[in-house]
Amino acid sequence: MEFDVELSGPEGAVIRVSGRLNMVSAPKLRDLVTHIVHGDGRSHLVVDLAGTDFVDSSGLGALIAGLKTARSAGGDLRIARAGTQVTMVLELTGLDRILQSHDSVEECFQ
Amino acid sequence: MNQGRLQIHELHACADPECLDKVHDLLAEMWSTSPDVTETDRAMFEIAVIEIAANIVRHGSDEGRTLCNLILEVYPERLGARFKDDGLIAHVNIESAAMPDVFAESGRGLAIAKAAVDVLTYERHNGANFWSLSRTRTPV
Repeated sequence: MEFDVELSGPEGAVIRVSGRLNMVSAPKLRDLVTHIVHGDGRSHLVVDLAGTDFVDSSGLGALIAGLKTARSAGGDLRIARAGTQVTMVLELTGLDRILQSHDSVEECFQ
Repeated sequence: MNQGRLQIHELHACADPECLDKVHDLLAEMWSTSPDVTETDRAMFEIAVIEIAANIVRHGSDEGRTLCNLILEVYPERLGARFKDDGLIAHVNIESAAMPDVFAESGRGLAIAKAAVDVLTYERHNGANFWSLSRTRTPV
């Protein structure tokens, strides 16, 4: 699992997640989002899931925590380019109601 | 009970976070030799198996070392998984497991496993935990 962060404009950041987002990597994503929002003052976040092979309940929890952290700072967290497995799990849990995957990172910032 | 079984794959490992990768690897091995299992069946079965594995890792034992055995099976009509571990008793109620509020940050694991397979059972015998999962395969 790897995280790659790219800054976007004065308030945005893109987090690219590669590999499996599970109980091992989820706490790292939570910490990363907290650092970006509260440390760097960037609250408009996009999590690019194009390279994410698998997400479990811990990974979903980290995305929800990130969403709440970003919104509490006046921003938002959106997800982009989710693959088949991630999409299925979002639908299975009903989380697709608050985390709808966009086709591109650019679309998330519009 | 094993009549008609097409494949069996087995893993014996310490139930630590790293073992989740071994479970993924075992599932990948199974899928590579079962090309006729649909993508939906694979994804649903895999998430259920991983959620139960993560539950075993999370709740471990007082001694800090839990041994876990996993058997994956492919049948013409279904996919099966059986876990046995020597960790602490799992205080779970599968029947009442339900998805929490969408903004909840935890508490989905058992509900996901339950929703992704057709049969999910848990039993405690002789100091060991036994989990069984079964998903009916989608006809191709």
